[in-house]
Amino acid sequence: MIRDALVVLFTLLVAMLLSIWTADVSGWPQLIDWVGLVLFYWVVALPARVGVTYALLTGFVFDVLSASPLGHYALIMTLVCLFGQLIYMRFRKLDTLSQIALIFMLTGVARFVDVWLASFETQAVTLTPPLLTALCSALVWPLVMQILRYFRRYHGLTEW
Amino acid sequence: MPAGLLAALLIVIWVADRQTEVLDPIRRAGLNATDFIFDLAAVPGNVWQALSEASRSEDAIYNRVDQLERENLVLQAKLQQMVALRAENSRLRALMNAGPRERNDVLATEVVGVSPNPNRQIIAIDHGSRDRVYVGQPLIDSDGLLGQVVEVSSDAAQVLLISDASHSIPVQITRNSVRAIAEGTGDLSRLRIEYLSTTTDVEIGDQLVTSGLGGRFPMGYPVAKVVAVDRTDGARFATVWAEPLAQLSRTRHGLLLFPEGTLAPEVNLGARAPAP
Repeated sequence: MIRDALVVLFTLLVAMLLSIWTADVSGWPQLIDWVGLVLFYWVVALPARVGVTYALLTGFVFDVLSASPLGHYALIMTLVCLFGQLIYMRFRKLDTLSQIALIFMLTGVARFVDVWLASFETQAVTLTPPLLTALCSALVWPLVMQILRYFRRYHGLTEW
Repeated sequence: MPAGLLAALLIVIWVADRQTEVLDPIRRAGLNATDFIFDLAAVPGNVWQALSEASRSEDAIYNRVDQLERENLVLQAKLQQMVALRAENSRLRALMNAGPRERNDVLATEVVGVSPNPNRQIIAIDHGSRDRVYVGQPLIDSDGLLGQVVEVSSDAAQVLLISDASHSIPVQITRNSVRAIAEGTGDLSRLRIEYLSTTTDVEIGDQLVTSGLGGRFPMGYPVAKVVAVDRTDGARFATVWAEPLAQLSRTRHGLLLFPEGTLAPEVNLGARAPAP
């Protein structure tokens, strides 16, 4: 049980490292919403185990890393998680192209909520256009999904 | 817990952390606990740097040392001149009954990462409250001002760059001491200079330094260079753009400025900030 949780947390940590690393290398923070994608994968794959607790934990850590007010990314991650729990059955049956389209919409909405919250916090100018994040995240989704699926099966994580 | 209630609770937390200082201890504890993430993210870069240094030929290293020695010689010569100038400046200031010029201690620090926040320009450095880093502290690089510290944990800190859209800094033009405010635009290579009337004497190429007003940034550190001046007839203020002098996107090392006497000599390597 604890081992399974560690596996999920490990992938979320890697996603955060990738976020910092992409921001540094590309100059576009959140060019790909790595954390959102990884969290969404686990919610869709293991809806009974990965839920709001993981979303809150991930969100609060991301808030601290990005110097946002606590609750900013926690709210966004919770929305991503709740959406995943709502549609996981249907999402699993979709073909890759439809999944990409759905991820495009989901990350797009998440980034718009992000910009909207940020506009209350400071005179924010978003550095990465939300639709660019949505597009790049949607395009890497099949790869992220394959890697995480392999990882999940390797560690024998099943739904129940 | 119903989703609506959870969302409402998160919004309350968000507002509370934005408007009050109630959650600051929790945020600081979170920062302490997550310091290692920035350190981990810096590992590939450090390994790459170590590898490229290891693979550099002996000749290249000798050349580099040679170049650094020459640079050092030039800087030493300038330093000698500066000591004389500083003494002269103090005498003149005394004649004018002005107080002595403020000096700063500096602490060299390393940039360990860029914050993943897509709405703000924040970098992480590897010194924290253990080294007496405080919120509001200025950070410079070898060319100019980088930004100010906004979050501190015990071993790391986060620095808001001067180009961030929410950042403003009081500056003055070195040529004629005209004062203005330099605002960030979200673009690393652009600052907007506010509140200069169309008749103010400002030209392309003018250097802007911190004016020291507001008390947050010490006076006289280079900030930016004017790159465009647009005076529209009938407008009250001129539109002036400047380019930051510091290497905001590329710098790997910075200097934290402390009021003089804060640091023990062995901590700051005996270094004094270059006279502004």
